[in-house]
Amino acid sequence: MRLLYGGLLAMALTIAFLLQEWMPALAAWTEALTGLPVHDAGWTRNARILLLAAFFFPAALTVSYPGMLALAFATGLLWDAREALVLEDDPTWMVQGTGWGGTLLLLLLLGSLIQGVRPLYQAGHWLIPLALCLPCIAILVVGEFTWNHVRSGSFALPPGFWGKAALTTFLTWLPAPLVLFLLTRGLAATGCEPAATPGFSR
Amino acid sequence: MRITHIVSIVLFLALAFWVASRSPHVKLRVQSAALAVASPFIKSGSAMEQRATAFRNEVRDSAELARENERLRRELDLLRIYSRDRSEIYDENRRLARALDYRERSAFNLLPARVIQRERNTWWSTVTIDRGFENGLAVGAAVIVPEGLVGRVITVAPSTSVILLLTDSHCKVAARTLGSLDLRAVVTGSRGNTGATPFLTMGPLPLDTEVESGRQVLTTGSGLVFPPNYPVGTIESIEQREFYSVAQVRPAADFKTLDQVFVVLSEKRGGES
Repeated sequence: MRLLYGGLLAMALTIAFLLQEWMPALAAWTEALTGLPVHDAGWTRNARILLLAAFFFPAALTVSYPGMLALAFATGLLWDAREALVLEDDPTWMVQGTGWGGTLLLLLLLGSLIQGVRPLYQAGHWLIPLALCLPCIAILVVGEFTWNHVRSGSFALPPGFWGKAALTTFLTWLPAPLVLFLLTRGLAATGCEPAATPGFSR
Repeated sequence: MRITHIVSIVLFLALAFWVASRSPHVKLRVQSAALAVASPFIKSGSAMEQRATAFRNEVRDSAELARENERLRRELDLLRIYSRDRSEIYDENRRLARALDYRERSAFNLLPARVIQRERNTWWSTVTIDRGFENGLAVGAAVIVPEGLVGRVITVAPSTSVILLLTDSHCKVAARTLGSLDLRAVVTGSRGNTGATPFLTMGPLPLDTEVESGRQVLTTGSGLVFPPNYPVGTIESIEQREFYSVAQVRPAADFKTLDQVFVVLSEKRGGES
């Protein structure tokens, strides 16, 4: 049964990855649907929904710790395969690349944090686990910037940094309840219903 | 903590270290493969975005026609629609002809490409175009528009590629100012991809440098990626710092409306242009 749910998770992760590629940035959608020049206004700051993050944190609640680590590794690999800036050394352009691996460590730490409230989820309390997903996404978004930019220079934050980070975090968190609901249904459908932990009432 | 947890963490860290220690070449191949897998979805999303724009334009036009119908006769409205349609076709035709003419006039072998995905990354300034190594693209190829420099290709898949824009802090170009005062420095983008109007910085310049705004900034051509004198932008202002000056540069290319770009495949031989 666990193997079946693992397969389901792998399929869902792939779908999240491809769906994230399919979805344009918020500004592009808003401009396409309303005609409002939101790029000129700049309030969207090119924010977009990071579906991989929106999938990982709820999914980390539904699996055991080793399962979470496997999920973190797969998610981190997919993330870096598309998000990391890898540049070949080229003196002509005088460009610098950024490293891989930071996302994996971040997901390890944040996934471990999420696992701490897994007993609440198993007992049927969703509010705190879902609320915890929000700061976890924020740390991932800000951590991605910090990991790559601190390595290449100063600590100075660009104007609009916190606005973009906040909007991206909130947009990314929005699908998390739906993801958790669907995964919980997936658990039930595959016969892996999470057992209630002693000390917590449903 | 259970022993299985400890073993899992050790295994995870070992794999993470192994992944992080791969060479940039291997990582680029992985990114290229991921881009190849994602390409059909990127193109599909781009096509849907275009359809949404077309739908919105249709709705807006219908509303305008309804307002006009209150004041004008039906025949006149139809004539206006036809006239407007012809005007749009004429404008599009003129734009494409201009692009084609530019392609013919250019000193390079240019490959036209369309931007199909904007702001792909949260913190990097990149776009995805609908051309890949099947079309002759390679990593490092320069990307331009008639107005000026756009960026460079950083990841190539069979039918799509990712461009790092000039507005990103990781993209740096050797440049000089046009005119009697020949200032040479590095032009780079801003950090974080957060601003609505991306400005470039040119520096370091000698302390107390004074350059009037509006002066053109061009590539130096060092490194043979570009010939000299390709437009990068224009000086907007000069900021005096403790030991040097930095110029704010308004990019020549309009990055907010980037749609059609040209990839420089190779320089044409003498007489070929």
